[in-house]
Amino acid sequence: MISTREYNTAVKEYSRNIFRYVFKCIKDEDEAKDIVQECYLKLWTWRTNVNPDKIKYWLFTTAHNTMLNHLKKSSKVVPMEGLSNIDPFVVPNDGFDLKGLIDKSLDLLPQMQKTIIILRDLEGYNYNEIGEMLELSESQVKVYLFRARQKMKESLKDLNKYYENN
Amino acid sequence: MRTIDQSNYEEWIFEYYEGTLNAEEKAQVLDFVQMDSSYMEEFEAFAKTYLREPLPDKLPIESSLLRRENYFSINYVIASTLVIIVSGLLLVKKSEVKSEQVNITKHSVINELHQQGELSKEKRLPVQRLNYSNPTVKRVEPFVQFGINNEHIIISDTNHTSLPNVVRDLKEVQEVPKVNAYDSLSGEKATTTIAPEKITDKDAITAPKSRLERKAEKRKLKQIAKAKEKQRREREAQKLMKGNMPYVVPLDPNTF
Repeated sequence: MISTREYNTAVKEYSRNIFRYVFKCIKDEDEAKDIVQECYLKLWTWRTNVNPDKIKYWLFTTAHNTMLNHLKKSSKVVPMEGLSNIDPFVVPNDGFDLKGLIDKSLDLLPQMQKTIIILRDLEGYNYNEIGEMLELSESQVKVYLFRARQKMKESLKDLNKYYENN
Repeated sequence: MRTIDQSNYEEWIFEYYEGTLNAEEKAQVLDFVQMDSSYMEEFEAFAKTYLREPLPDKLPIESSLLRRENYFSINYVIASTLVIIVSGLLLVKKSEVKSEQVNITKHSVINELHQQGELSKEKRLPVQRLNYSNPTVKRVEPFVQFGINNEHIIISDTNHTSLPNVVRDLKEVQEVPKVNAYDSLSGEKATTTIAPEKITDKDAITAPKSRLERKAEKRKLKQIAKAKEKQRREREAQKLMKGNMPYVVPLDPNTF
């Protein structure tokens, strides 16, 4: 069970991480805030069942599942093998810098690979923790991550070439 | 032992950035990518796929997520109740000590009244004994203030007041000397008589009094003490006048 103080500490420490994670995935600020709020509401409701040592992990798992539910409801699900459905060259005009290109190449990834990259790079989770969150084996996570980086690398190359030619 | 080649160099580069290679394997990767510029491009392109982004500023919704902490937990309630009880007990004990001090002062005045013939009986107790029996009473100034010999105080048997602890001790005292403190002049030796009666528990009847009553008593006692002092001085002056000696105000020898 977590106390009110532990809950408030979790809000102060992890709310921005969860917002960043959700916003990176769905690119909608208002919806990301809604999901963060929903996560903490669930945490408060289930506080008697949550292990205080695993609050961050619990929050990210809940945020991931809540986000998938939101995407399903709003029909914004990115196909798992979605690169072919998205035009990689429809890039915002203001984004010809490395960060903009990386963001765009990340958006071109399937949802699962994108999630894994964010959890790995921004939140620093290891393969095992990511696997537990997303219900995958450790080797599956590693494979997904490798593929995601390969795809990102290729799309970065393509986007670079496109902007250099135009 | 694994070796890096054209078929698996991407995996090696991936593992290099993931930090799963040892020093020897890392050196192998670096040697390989330096063989050809295309490999080096791949190597650098992989590095760009790692996200580095700072956390956003404080979320505007953060304050709405926080919950008010419950300060009135059961532990706080128990602790504060205990503190209140203990402080209450200390206060009660303090007030008991004060009331005992007032009672002792009162007894000294009763003694005076008896000497004037207003009280029929009297019983006495050595002051030292009183102080030992009740260690909380540390001051004996009231006795000095009222001109009573410091060696003794008097307990009345008129059921007006009593000191239970003291009276219990008095049972052991067979004979208690009587001191006519106010009849003797300063510098003279106090005369003593024997008080024949023994003290019984019947004398130990306490009458709890309110704070206001106690204050009024104190005030009254002070007034009586002042009046007695005045009377004593008048008596001294009269004694001097009986021998046809004019009362001369003593001069300060230092002026001559």
